[in-house]
Amino acid sequence: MKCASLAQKAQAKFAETYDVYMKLPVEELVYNPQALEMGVRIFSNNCALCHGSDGGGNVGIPDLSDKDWLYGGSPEQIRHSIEHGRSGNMPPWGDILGSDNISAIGEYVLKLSGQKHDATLAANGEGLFAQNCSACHGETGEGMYVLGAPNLTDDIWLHGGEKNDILRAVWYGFNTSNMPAHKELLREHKLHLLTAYVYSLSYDYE
Amino acid sequence: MSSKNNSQAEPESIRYVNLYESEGKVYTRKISGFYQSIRRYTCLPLILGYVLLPWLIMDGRPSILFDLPARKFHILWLTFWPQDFMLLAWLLIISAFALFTVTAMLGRVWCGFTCPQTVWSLMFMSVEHMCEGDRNKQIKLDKQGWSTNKVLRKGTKHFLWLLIAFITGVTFVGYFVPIRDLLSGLLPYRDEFGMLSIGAHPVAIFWTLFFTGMTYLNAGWLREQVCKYMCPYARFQSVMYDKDTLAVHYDVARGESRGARKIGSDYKAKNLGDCTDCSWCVQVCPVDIDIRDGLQYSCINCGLCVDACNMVMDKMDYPRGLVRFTSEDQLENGKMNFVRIRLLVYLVVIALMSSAFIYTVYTRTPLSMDIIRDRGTRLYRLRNDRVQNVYTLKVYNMDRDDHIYSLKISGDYPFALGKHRPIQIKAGGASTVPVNVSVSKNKLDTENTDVTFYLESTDNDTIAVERTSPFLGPKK
Repeated sequence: MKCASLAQKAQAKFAETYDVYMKLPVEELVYNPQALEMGVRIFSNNCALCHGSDGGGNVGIPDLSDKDWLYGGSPEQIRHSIEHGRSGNMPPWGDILGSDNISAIGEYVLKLSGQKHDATLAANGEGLFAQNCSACHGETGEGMYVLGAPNLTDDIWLHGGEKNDILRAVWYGFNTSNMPAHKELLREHKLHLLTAYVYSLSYDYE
Repeated sequence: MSSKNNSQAEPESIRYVNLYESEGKVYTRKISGFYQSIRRYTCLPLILGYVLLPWLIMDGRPSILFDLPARKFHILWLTFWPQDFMLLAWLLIISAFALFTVTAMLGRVWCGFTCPQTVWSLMFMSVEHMCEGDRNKQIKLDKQGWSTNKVLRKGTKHFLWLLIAFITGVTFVGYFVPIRDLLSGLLPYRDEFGMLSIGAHPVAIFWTLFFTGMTYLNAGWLREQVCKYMCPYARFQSVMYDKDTLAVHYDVARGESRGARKIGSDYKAKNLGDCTDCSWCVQVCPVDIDIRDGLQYSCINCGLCVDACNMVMDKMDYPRGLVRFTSEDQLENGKMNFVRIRLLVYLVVIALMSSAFIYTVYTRTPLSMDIIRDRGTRLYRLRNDRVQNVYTLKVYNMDRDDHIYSLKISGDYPFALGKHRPIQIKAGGASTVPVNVSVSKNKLDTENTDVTFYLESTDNDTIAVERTSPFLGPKK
């Protein structure tokens, strides 16, 4: 009985601390310093090891503080990414397309992102891109939230934006993009606060 | 009854103390007098302060609260954080030196007049005198068989002891848990399931009972044995004594040879000294020694024997002070060196340490910042030809006002501070602020340098801290 009442007290204390925030939507929580203070701590403990304490990401790990989102930046999309995790996959094209075609696609991607490129090769690459890449990255190369296919036109790179980085990405692909699910680990209250904090990282306060 | 209570002037013999033998009970005789009054009037305010301070409210919290869960020690208008732990160490060192000084000067006055062990023991003895009568009555009562009278007297005594012990225990825990919550929490109530329940935290209940029990045991039963066998201070006091230390001494030259006589008789003709050998000094002694045997380690300088002897001297119409606070030097040479090098050194050291301590507390910056450099999978981050390092700042506002802070950085390279959340912290609050620092890859010609963070309150530029952390970049 004693134990049960202690557990109840802990529950009551937890509810007292967290319940107030559950009633507020994420869009309001970004203006609530206490909620963000709790959010930053949850982030430090659970996310910072990969994404960095400032959420800036690193090679292969998305930057959460910019406006470029792989799976969408609305509160619902962010919440889904944290709660259920994400798994992206870029197939390897080297054996399928061969080096000439891949060079052409590489030049076209450089052109898409506004970098220096070989215009002839890029022109060849455009058709190859439409055949092989646009299914995921979109006709215009702006990516697709549903599949987590990155936007190739904004010069923000998950695996590096140099010519060699791009060629390697197309040739070998990636099977390493794996964001784990946090539903069981964090539960309802903390997921909500964490979503608000991640949303606040790229939020325009002005 | 102790075997030595009627000790005669016998030659000094070796005393064997068996530490595993239970001691005989010490029956003390009730005495009043100058030193007993000093003790009463110094202890009353101290005890009142001890009992009442937890009830006093300042800034919406108890005036003294050692808040362990929040890791904050509130002492009157000051709040100490774990970062101030060094101050506690210095406070203890200063207190130790103060104890040395006082001991070198006045002997064990701490033991005799202010030590809680003595004060509570004497308080418990007063209760004993109240319930069971004076020494002879107590001895008689203990020899008697059980009777209603004995049960009532003993029962009342133990009830009062436990009551004092409980007040002591609750008050002590009241320095760690707000005492109003503690007391109301100790009352059982029926919860929503109809079960008897207690609101106070089990740990608080445990320590309340623990200190109640320990006070009862220490002041009621162990008493002088704590001083004689447990207290470390009693053991190293001898190194602090010198020939000019004030202590309770028996004036051998004046007192010997001791012996019984009638009031007004010409004892000098019988070759007797001033000591009537009435044994009052022994009977009142809380540590059960005979002060006439000379200075000894058990003596706590409580002065009860001085009061007792003066009372007898008054009755006999002899001058007071056969047993008195005096020094070895004074007894031997008739003069006392109050100014001694050791004492001066102690006083100077204390003065220096106390001023440094007060200065440190007074000028303490009520702001603290810890910097943790990110320990992620990579040493640094490369983005758009810039090298970035990420830091987590833990900022503590230790002031009594809310503040907004501004952050600046500097270093050997043109560092730029990334966008970070605003640093605004409530009084007594803490905030976690992740920031990134970047520098152009071309400008950075080393793989390891330092970056310095300055944090300053926007409304008060005296509240500022500075911390330095490493900045790592690609190998050159």
